[in-house]
Amino acid sequence: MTAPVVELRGVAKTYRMGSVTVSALRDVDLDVAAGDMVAITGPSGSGKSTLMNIVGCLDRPSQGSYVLAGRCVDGLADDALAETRNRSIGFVFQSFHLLSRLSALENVELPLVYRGMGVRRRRALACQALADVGLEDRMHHLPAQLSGGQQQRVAVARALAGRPSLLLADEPTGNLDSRAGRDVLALFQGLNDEGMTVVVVTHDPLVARHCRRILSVADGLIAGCAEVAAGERLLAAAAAPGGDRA
Amino acid sequence: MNLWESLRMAVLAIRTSVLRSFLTALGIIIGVATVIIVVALGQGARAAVAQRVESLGTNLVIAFPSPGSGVQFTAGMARSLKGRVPDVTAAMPVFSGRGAAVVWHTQNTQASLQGVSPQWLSMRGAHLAAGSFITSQQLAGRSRVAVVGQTVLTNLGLSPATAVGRQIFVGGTAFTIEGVLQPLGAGVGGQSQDSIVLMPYTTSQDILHTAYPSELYFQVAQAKDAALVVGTLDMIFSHTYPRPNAVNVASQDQLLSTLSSVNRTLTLTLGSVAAVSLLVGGIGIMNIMLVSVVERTREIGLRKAIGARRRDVLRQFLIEAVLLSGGGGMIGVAFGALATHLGGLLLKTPMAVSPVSAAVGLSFALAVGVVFGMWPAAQASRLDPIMALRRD
Ligand SMILES: Nc1ncnc2c1ncn2[C@@H]1O[C@H](COP(=O)(O)OP(=O)(O)OP(=O)(O)O)[C@@H](O)[C@H]1O
Ligand SMILES: [Mg+2]
Repeated sequence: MTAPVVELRGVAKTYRMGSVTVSALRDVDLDVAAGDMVAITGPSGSGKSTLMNIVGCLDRPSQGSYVLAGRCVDGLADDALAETRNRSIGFVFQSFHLLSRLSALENVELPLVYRGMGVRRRRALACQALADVGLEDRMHHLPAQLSGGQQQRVAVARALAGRPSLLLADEPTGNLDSRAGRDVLALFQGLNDEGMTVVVVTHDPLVARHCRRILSVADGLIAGCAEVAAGERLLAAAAAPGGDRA
Repeated sequence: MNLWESLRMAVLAIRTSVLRSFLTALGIIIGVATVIIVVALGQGARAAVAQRVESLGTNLVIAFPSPGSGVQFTAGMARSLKGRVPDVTAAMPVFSGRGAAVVWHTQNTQASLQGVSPQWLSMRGAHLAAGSFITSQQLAGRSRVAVVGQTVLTNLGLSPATAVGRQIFVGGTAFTIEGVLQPLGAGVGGQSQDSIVLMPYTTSQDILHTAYPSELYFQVAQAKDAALVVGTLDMIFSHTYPRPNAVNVASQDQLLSTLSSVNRTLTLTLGSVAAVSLLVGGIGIMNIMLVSVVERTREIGLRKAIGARRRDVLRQFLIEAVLLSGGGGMIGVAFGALATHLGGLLLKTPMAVSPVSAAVGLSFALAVGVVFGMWPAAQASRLDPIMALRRD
């Protein structure tokens, strides 16, 4: 594996609420190599989302440093962080977060709009991304006209359209039934096989088995790391009905 | 995100809820429409006043006793003052009185009576539709002859061609119609001047039961002499009647400027009321935009999460506010123009929308959108994406 895409060193996150301080993360070191696929698991409140938000440049650590794709992002201003998110990171959320007034295609185009890309190019990229998630025949549907699984695939297409170096997903299957969830995971696995670096937060062990490594977080610390055997990963992929697509 | 994209997003947001957007912009719509209507009314009134003052005649100076001063003019003063004031080319007394019944056959109508001299026609710049005007002989002979206005004629069921020579009763006294006036239109106060019966002022003294003219009219050769004549007359009257302001002397220009300054004050007052309603409209927009920012917190969070910078979000919401206020302004201009047009038809006076008032109203509306949209937009742009996404 090559140079790390994510390099966290001694990262801590503390929330101060009046006199009480909550340590959501305490001294986390994390390396994610390019082409890796990592699952982050752990009990509720252990700090998984906090970690993801920092990795995704949505939040800043209280302490420690973060090098993303070889570039230190500590101390970047809000707008610079926004640009970093726009160019380097694709985010998939538990509740999809599609804009209800925009069609699937327009939703997928949105990050490219903020990148300042011309209409023709971004349309081509968005169409490609929608085709990659198998929704080329649903481009002009509004989110309300799509199933939950399809909406999440639109969200994945949106995350992919800008060709980010890192794909992040926080409980991407949390709002889906198991079949649609496996579809999305199979999609991630296929993307990872093509070289995309993926980090998925989940507390579903079946979801975690799609990944190459499983990190467990407990009480703001990384408590353990386990490799997933290649065979098990293949089994997980085969179990997904959409898995043959990837 | 370029301007075009922001504009598209704003249009989309406004289109999603047309009724709400319309209600939001209603304050601006009403404000701008009011500005347009008030200015058009003001200008229309000013034009009408100018036209009426001009319809008095040309280069006239009018003197009349101040109400309550007890001053009484005499008919002879017109002639003697004409001799004393240089530049006065003609002078006449005018006796006006209460209305009286005018009867022809079985028809009757009310008309205002005026006792005048033969110069009246030329001094007032009026024209005859038929017959002839009062002569000096008739004046000297206290003849019972009358020249009648169009309204009187119509009300009596006569036409100019058939009226001359007929006998009518004015206030119970028999008169012969000598002539018929062409329509004079509205007077300075807006009243009709065609419901009028003119007679020699010598005759009118018996009918009106007064020996004192209500006004003296003086004509000057050139408009520029009017001010000097007004000054001279003022001086003479203040010698004759040593009380302050016993007599009012005014040229047509002064009459016009007094009347139009009243008008201007009124327009300005109403205009400021309209401006205040524009401000209130702006507050309405700010209110709804603030609500909208709260409602769309998740949308804003998502946009920021996928790369919208502060200025992108700021611009999107600011454009939305300006679009609301500008659109409202445009509807307001259209609405005001329509109302002005209809009002003009209704009041039978031509009223035009001034392009300046439309431009000012519209720019004011846009400015209101920028000013009152700024705060909600700044609020939106400062949202923390994590917090915003978490909101349900
Ligand atoms: N904005 C905040 N202010 C205060 N405390 C916070 C804030 N965000 C998170 N926390 C705290 O940080 C801790 C970790 O939260 P986090 O959301 O990362 O947990 P999680 O592992 O994602 O849990 P779950 O599996 O339930 O999503 C929790 O104790 C939470 O209460
Ligand atoms: Mg979480």
